Amino acid sequence: MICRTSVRRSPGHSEMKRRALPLLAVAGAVASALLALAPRPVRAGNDVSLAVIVSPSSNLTNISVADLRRVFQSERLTDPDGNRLIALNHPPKTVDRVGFDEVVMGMDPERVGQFWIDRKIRGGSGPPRTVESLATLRRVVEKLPGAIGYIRPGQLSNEVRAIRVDGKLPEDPGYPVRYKP
Amino acid sequence: MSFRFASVVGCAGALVSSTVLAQTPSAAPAAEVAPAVTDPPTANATPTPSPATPPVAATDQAPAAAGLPESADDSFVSDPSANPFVGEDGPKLELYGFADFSYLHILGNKTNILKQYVAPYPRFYVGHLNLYMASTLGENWRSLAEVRFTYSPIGDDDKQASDGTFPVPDTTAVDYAELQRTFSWGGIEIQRAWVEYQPFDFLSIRGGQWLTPYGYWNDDHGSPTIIAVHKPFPIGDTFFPEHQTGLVAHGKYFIGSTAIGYAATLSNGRGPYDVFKDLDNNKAVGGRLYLESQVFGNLTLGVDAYRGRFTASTKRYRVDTSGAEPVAVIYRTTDVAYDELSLGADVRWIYEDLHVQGEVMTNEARYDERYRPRTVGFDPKPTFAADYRRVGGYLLLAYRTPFFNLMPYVMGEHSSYTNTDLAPPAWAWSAGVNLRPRPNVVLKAEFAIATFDGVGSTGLGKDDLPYIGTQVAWAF
Repeated sequence: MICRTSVRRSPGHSEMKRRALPLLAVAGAVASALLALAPRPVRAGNDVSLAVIVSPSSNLTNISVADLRRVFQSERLTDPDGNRLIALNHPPKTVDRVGFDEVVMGMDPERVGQFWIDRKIRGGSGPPRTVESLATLRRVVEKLPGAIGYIRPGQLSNEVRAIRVDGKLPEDPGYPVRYKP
Repeated sequence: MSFRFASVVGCAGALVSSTVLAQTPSAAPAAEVAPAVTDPPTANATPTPSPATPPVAATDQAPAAAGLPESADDSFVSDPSANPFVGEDGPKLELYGFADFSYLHILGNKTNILKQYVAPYPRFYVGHLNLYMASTLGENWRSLAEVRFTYSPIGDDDKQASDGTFPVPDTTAVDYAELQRTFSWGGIEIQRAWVEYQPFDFLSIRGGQWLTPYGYWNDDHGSPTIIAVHKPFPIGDTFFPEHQTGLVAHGKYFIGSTAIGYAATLSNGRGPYDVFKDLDNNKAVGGRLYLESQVFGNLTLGVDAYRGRFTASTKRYRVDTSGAEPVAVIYRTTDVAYDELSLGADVRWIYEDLHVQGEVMTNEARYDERYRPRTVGFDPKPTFAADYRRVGGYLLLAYRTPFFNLMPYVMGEHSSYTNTDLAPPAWAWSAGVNLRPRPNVVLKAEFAIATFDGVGSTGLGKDDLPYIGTQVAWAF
């Protein structure tokens, strides 16, 4: 009798259960979504350096990270030859672009998107031109006075020249334009 | 709309790449060997060495395929003095903009005069539809025009008539394309239209109609960029002019990661038609000086000033018969004139996801005794407007969380309204959330309550003003 009583459900019990299940499912889905969106630890791996490149004919030999940020924020900066520095970027959400934005601009891709939208609504200038291919990037940097870009050290060729950033070259310890992929 | 490469750089860069590629049809340098990564893979993909031959955008190969003449050298593209903007290669026009759609529900009882005045019933509305037209005119030259499309003046019931009503202008017109059916026409407000020349890194000169460079809110300007739903009182009450027409010189000078910025303005100042006409000889001057530091987060401190003379006058004519021949004489009689001075100070500190922003400002006016206006109110005794000094400010605290870019915020604001006896000094407190699911889409919801230190001549301030506002703003 006790046993039967214990398993007997009140008339509204099944109704409550029926209502609770979708709520639990929604709560689970929300929790899963939040967990999925939570910041993840950075994957361990070798750091990737990005060489900042200019034309071999340029007299620019060193640039600070602050100035590099200014150039890639489309602010005007003139090189020793009197040319306005023209930033050439990698396409959005490519690996090196994401890494460059993180270490130089201090922003993740989402924030970069917000930054440029906000800048343009304020009436400021737009983002630097993106170049779709490495070959084009190197050639434009070589030929266009004032052009400045970035590539991996292994991608350097005689078309372009790596310059120092805060006095350091990519192979130097403490080189600032370096990110974890 | 995608960002265009609207500059000398763009044309030159494209020409360079096409020329170079035309000179090297294979477009595959022999030196390209693995593991030198060619095109960076997408962020979601595992970074793996690409094939030895770098892929080249199809557009890069098009000029060669189109049989364009190969240049013996690249002088025509590498010469910085060359002007590529000739003929059909003229400046590119970039169109973009923003809009917002809002819901406003003023709470409180039906006798609340401000509720009756502003929005007695909850309402949906499209508040802004702003279109930008930007162009790089050449090296160091840039222009921007922004227009706001508005449904006004339909429904403009802000001006009371002597018969006890607030008449609304009739903007209905027959739609000639739709068999005599009617529609209501709206308006266009030019928000800014300027051309800018930057001769030096630290100096830009802008001429035209521009937003007054003061503080942050007026510069943020667009609803997707602004964090809260509503403008703080002193911003909306234009302690400083929202925009001016004239010249502004501005720039930044960098010392390491710290920048000193400035703006100096010369304009028509404030007036009934200040966007295109000045009714006195006194040009308004103003300026902004600020310091930006990135040592500990992004900290900006600024001070602002504006000084000008407001003059409203009426154009008249008469016939002078004192001479041998009658002569028509055009002249103006001044109705209102006052000198004003606005001062402001501001701070913004963005440290990682924390956003702190505040502005304080004052605006004082001293009437010319000859042109002091009569006050408008319910007091039957004839009185004249008094000189005034308004004081106001706001402080906004916000924090961007990692979850859907959700940003809760709180804001406090004050405005003294000493320029009118209609409104007593007001305080407002807001709490809300700003959600940015995409960089170009912002959802906002806030609860705010305005309280008043007294009661104005029309009864305004007798009741608090609580309201709920929501908004979706998007850039396109």
